[in-house]
Amino acid sequence: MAYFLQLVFAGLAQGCIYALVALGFTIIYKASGVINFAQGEFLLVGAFLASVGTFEWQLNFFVAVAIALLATILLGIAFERFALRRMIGRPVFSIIMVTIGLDILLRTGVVMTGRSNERSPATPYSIASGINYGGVHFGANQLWTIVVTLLICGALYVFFRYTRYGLAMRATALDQEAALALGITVQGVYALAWGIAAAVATIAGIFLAINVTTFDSTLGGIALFAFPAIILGGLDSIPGAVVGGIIIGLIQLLTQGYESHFPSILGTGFDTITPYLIMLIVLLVRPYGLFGTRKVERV
Amino acid sequence: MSHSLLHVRLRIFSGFVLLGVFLASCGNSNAGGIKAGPGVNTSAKTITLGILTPLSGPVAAPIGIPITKGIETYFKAVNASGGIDGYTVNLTEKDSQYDPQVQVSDYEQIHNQVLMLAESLGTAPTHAIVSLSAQDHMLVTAATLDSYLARQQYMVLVGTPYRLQVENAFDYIVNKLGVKNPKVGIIYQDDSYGQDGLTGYKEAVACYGLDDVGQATYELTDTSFTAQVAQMKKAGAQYVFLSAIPTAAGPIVGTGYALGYNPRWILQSPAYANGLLQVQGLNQLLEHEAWVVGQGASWGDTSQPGMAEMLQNIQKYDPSQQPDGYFEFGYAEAKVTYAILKKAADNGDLTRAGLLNAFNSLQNVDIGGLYPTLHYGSSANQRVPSRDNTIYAIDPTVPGNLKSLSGDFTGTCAAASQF
Repeated sequence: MAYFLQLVFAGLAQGCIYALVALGFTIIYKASGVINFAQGEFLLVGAFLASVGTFEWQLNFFVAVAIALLATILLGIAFERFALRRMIGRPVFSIIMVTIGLDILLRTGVVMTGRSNERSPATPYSIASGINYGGVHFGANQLWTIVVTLLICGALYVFFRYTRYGLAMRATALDQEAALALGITVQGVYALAWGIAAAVATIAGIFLAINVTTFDSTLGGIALFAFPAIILGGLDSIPGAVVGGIIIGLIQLLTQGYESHFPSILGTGFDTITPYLIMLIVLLVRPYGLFGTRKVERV
Repeated sequence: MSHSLLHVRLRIFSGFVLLGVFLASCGNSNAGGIKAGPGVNTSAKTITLGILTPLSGPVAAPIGIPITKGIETYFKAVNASGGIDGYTVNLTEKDSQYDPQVQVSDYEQIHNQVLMLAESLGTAPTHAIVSLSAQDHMLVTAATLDSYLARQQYMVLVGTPYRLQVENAFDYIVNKLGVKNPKVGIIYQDDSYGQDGLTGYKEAVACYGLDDVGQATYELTDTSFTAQVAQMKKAGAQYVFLSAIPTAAGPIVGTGYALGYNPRWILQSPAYANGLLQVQGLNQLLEHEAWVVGQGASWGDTSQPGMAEMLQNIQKYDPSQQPDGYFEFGYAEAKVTYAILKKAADNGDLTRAGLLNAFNSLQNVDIGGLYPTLHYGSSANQRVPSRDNTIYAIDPTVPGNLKSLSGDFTGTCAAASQF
């Protein structure tokens, strides 16, 4: 039982990281209809800057994280302002290619610093710290990942529901023309969405980097696992991104933990394809996901 | 002379010219008594060798770059002392990113420009070019110790295959430390490299009567190792072998500690890199809980002439180089490549066929104690370069950070293993 609970706890923590990555995708998609293929590299840039700040600039961990957050937010806003805004009215394919370009640019930028190989992650606690209860180790990083994800979800809920800017974002997501008619600055909404997505990605990157003990320029590859999460939850649903991420994380860890019991059926590495199998099934059975908007077309 | 006769003579002359051009384009020129193949320029007296190695990605900094620097340093020294029978050795380097597809693409780009590959790093990437190199009759000095590759005609390995490394590690536990029926497990990379470790593990379990309590895999894309480590913990494995790369071995040991699980971790040689000691908290864990199974003279042991020579060359050509086992490995590889080239040059045949003949007839290659004497021959069993290993503790107080625990030895299973 302790083994099972250990896997569930680790799966929850892993799922929270997927959820944070998926949140970034969803926020941008909801606001502007763009799927940001550079989301993974915002994780890398955030974790990288926090690490450089902590170990090379000798800054306090929280100061380093604040600088990383500020830098990625500015990067996100600048990209939206100077690249994406010029793409308004262009085919979706072109916009996707621009985000792929940003992805390559960010990763190459980190590599070109010559400091991207095998970095220690910035962390405020030792890798061994945590609580033991009932034969299960609740690691500090995993606990904080779960707590911070819940806090971010709560903050986003309050932001979207009760603040002026949050309402403006929701209105823009529902109907851009109506939002413009009401005096909402749609470009401001886009910039805000990119800023929030970059900040969330930075936090996810920092937790992920601590999780893997050392990291390099491939850290952003985890974004591939967020796709099944957003498809499962629904591409335009913020709660869906969180639920989808957690489900994918749980299933992946449980598969990883039990696949060796069925080697003749599952072979090895089955956990790697499980998220994509789920994605395929969801796309076939419920293409708009668990919480996504079902599109109705009148013919 | 009639017009028709002149025409016939011109056609014959043109035919000879075309034949000459064709032979020259095949690269089989014969200048100065040396038969030359692709990558050999007899007029400029240069030999070009290829290097396919990760210069970016997770394997670059800990393994790919230091190995390549070891090869570069050795050939700088060779060139400075007159080259190989007057031929200067040039290296054409390509970044494989530790990706088999990129490796194949890199190979396709350079295979007509080089005499042989002085480096192909990684088991899976090297598997990807085995048949291509065989088609091209091109020797490949490979930075992998995969036992399948050791059997291949055109592959030159330097050291004891992974499979035998695992067997020697458990020989140390059972025969040297006297631990009977230990509970053991393995976590291995889910590719050909990990499979070779698993093969050795299964042979060791049968050979030494080990209590195999768990086998788990990981993927290169994994970001959590909790499931694998929790599986070992649940099974109560006392010794866990890691057929892994450093970026996985670090988190696995760290996760073990976080879960309150502290077995003896045994790291296959590519699972360890000095960079792991830079990671806060992990360095103490590795010092206390991990062993590395590998080979080679301890860094700074100048009683070995190969080590003394290497340190001198580092001073001359790469003075910023820090002690690093992978640099040493690259340097040792380059010495074996040199031995093949030298023998081929002495035979007057710097073609690919000439290199294969030279390699098959090498027999023993003494690399000055940098690594134990390596053995080569024409059959699969003869191509296993060595069967011995050393078990190291990780100790940051010694140069290279590895301290021999066992001395060099060959376990009973590794000695008997057939390829």
